[in-house]
Amino acid sequence: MAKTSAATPKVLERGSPLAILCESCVNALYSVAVRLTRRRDTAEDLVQDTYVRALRARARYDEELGAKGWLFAIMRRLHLDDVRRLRRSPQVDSLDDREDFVLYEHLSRDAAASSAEEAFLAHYLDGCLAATVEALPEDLKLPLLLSAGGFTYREMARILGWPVGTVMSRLHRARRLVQRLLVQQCRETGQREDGP
Amino acid sequence: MTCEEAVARLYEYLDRELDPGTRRRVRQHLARCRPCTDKVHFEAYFLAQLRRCLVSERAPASLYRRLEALVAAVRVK
Repeated sequence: MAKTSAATPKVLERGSPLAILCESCVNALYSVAVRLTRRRDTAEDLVQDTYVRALRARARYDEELGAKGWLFAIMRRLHLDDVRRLRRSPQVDSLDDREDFVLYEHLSRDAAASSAEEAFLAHYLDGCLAATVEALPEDLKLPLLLSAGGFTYREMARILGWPVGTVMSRLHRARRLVQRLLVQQCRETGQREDGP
Repeated sequence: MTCEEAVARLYEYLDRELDPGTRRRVRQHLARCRPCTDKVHFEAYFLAQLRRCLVSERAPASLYRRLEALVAAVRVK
């Protein structure tokens, strides 16, 4: 069970640990919000709503999660509320994501590149990586974004309210699915037409 | 540890989530297996690109102004 602090405004006084941590989280929250909402103006609204909710609920501040984790947990709940309201449905669920190293194997066949990493740079640093992540179903996108934000499996489990095993399986599945989608995009756009 | 066992723990290894003993066995396997090492290097690179891509946004000044107004309102109350 999460510990909560007393309902004291001191937690938000300038220079207080929570205030400093909250301020330091703005860029991380905004980065994730952009990927979740796919719109910068909507992402701003989501971050603002997150802080509004956090300020209202500061008496229930979760010390075990820490300020960053607590804010991400709030933002995740608000975002899922929006998703349910808008009834957005994921489109890429059905793709096979069980195969390992599909992107590595694909790029390793690039005779012009000296390494798979170089081939990756040549093909994917044009924004399609971010777009691919944004297109993932919410239950795969969230652990991917939190992992990129530096959270451990255990911290993600607390933020998302999932068992650690579920976090691991969904995170690993998300990574494989992103790779699968990148290979699929590559083939569809004909970037690899001179490949084997 | 076999290649299959090492591959199965790959993401936990890269995420630094393995217990010390298992982590040591994965490292020992990688030290003598070039194909697995190449795959690990690529996956580490891929995860670094994901991090760079996904958490590199800078919050705009307009958002900071909105948040400052929020916190100021709470302090006034």
